[in-house]
Amino acid sequence: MIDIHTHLLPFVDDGVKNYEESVEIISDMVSQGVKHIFLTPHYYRLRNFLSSYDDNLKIFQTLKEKIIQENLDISLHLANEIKYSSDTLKDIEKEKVKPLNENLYLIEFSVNETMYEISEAVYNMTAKNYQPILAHIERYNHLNQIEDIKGLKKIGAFIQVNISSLLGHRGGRTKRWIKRLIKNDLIDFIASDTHVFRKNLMVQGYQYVENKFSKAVAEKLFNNQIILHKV
Amino acid sequence: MEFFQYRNVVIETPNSPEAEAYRKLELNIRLQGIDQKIRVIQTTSPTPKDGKTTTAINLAAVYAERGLKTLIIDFDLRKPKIHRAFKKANEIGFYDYIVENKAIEDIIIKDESGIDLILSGKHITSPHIVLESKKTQALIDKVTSLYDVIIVDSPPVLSVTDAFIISNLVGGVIYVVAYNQTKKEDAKVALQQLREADINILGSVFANVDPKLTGYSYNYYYRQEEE
Repeated sequence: MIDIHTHLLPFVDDGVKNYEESVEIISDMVSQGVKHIFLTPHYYRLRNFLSSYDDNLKIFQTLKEKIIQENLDISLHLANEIKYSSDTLKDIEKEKVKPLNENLYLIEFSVNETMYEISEAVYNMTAKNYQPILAHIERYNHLNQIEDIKGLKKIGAFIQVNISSLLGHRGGRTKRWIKRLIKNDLIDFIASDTHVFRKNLMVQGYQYVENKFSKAVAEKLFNNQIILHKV
Repeated sequence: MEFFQYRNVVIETPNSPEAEAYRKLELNIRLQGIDQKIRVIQTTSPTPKDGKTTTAINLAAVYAERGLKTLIIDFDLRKPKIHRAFKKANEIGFYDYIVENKAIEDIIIKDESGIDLILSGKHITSPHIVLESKKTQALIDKVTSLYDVIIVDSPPVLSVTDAFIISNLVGGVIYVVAYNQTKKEDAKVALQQLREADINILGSVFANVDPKLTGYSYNYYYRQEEE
């Protein structure tokens, strides 16, 4: 499995508080069969999450050393979850924020963001040959029509959903919405967005999808290889 | 509308009946301005999705085709679309001129089609106030000296007052309605408002016409002063 969205880099956002917490969660993920984890600390001006890539990298190197010490067989990657704003294109250009792979950037919006602004973000990013992955789209109040998701994909967006939402943590309606999206093949990634320890979250999600849909679907959503290879 | 793919038929399929219809439109505008050339042209419509932006970009392409130095300004500052039609990021534009005091030359974007663009740039609060400013007038004056023709895309008439404010800056307005789509009542009311404001309506464009239904081989049909 591949987890493309986590907050496991300590000290820089609202994720794990220290290295120990991070190692604990990573260790649990390894035991579930996760092979790749993308650490995606927030880059979010309004919440003052503005840690530079260089600073993140130092913490990341230390974390990697601790992982090696624990003999954990896992590949860690450092990127960002970017709160989209009118500065984002500049931030990308100046390399203040990092993609998950090549040009694949994880971006998020406020829960009340309008469809116009979300589509605008996708248009602007693709115009610059960046490929946006829209994080936890189940959270956006104005993004609740199948046609809108189809439209966003058509103009170049990738869609990510959180496991906890699929498992019912945001209520039955959100769960049904996500299942409908999976049925319509509109989701590209399911990820943990993990901030705190939750045992077996990844494998629970995987098994749920495998049971409700198929192994092939679970593989596609939890093991989407495009994040590792050149798109 | 959020995912509408704008087509510039004059550029993409220059020999099509659709492209020909836009050339007819340009000719008709030219005939209107025999004595006094109309060089700054605004496109507007009653409601969203009627075809303003599509008309603007295709008309601009006709002028560019004729060898005229052509500029499009996106003055729909609330929901700008021109950058989408030209596959550009809406990074720099009118906002930078108004707020950051950038020079006009620095905000003009050159497109491969030969048409130059002034996009909206970052979001401007209270666009109707900005559009009425001397700075905006100065921009129009300057670009009028730099270009042969300027097309100005604007918001729909019935949504906000911006279209009226913009009409004070231009030589004439093209009123776009979508066949079988724009509500007749909306089209009438908006046109009435434009007339009452004494705006120079060059004429109207009937967008979205299916040639199979009308029997014409043109998709876009130009007509004088719609009733």
